[in-house]
Amino acid sequence: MQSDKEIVDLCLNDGIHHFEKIIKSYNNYVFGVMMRITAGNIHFSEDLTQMAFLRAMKYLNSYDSSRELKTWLVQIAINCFKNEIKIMNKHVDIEDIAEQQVYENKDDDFFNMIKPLSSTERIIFTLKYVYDYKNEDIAKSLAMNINTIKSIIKRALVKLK
Amino acid sequence: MSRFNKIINTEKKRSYKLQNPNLFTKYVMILANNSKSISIKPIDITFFCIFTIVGAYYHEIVFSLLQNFYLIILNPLKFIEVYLYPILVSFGLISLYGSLREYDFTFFSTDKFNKK
Repeated sequence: MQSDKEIVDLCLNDGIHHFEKIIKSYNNYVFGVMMRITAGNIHFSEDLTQMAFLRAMKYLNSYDSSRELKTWLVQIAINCFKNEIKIMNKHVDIEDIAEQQVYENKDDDFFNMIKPLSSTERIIFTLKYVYDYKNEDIAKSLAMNINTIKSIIKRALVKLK
Repeated sequence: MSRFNKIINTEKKRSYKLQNPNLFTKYVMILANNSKSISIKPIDITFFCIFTIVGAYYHEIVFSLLQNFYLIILNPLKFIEVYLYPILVSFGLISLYGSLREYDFTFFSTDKFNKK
């Protein structure tokens, strides 16, 4: 089986059609992250996942192979989410996005729990507690200061209490 | 175990799946292949120079063609009779440009990954 690095090399040297393997491997993973960040909005999560893969294809040559591919894809997806929220904030509130929740699950405590959090808090909270990212990794992925990350986590936990 | 930890642990175990991952993959690939990219090739610059030089040299014919362009509706046969030669030369040059562009090296492209 080919490694992620080999597939990326193939995409860059032989053609982007090889990227299909990457999408097949990580579409559910990226979708899962987006589902949590959007508090269960399926359609928005699907759109963001799609945007993330398209953007990843476009900027594949800037991918640093020393990093994990799925982390890079998640970083792109999060940037897509932030951009979309920035655009939507002019018209829709972040809580309204969560209100459009269509994921049917009786055990949806997590989605209800993160609803009071802002978009940045949701991202950091999800990465830290659900995906067990270290503070340094989150800071690197979001291009933020580690102390800012720590204070955002603290603020989120206070809101959730 | 606190309620917070319980929710987080339940969430960690939960996996989300796209409704149709194969269709999703195909759709993304189609969208990626359809995205337009802008590129400038040496052949573009060459033909820009050729069109400019030819246009400048035969500027009288070009201006006359533009001025009498209404003839294409009023008297198409007359228009073709008068301007057949410049029209054929223009089409020939454009066809040559179009076919050569397909086989040339790319100078600059916004399409960073697609290698044909």
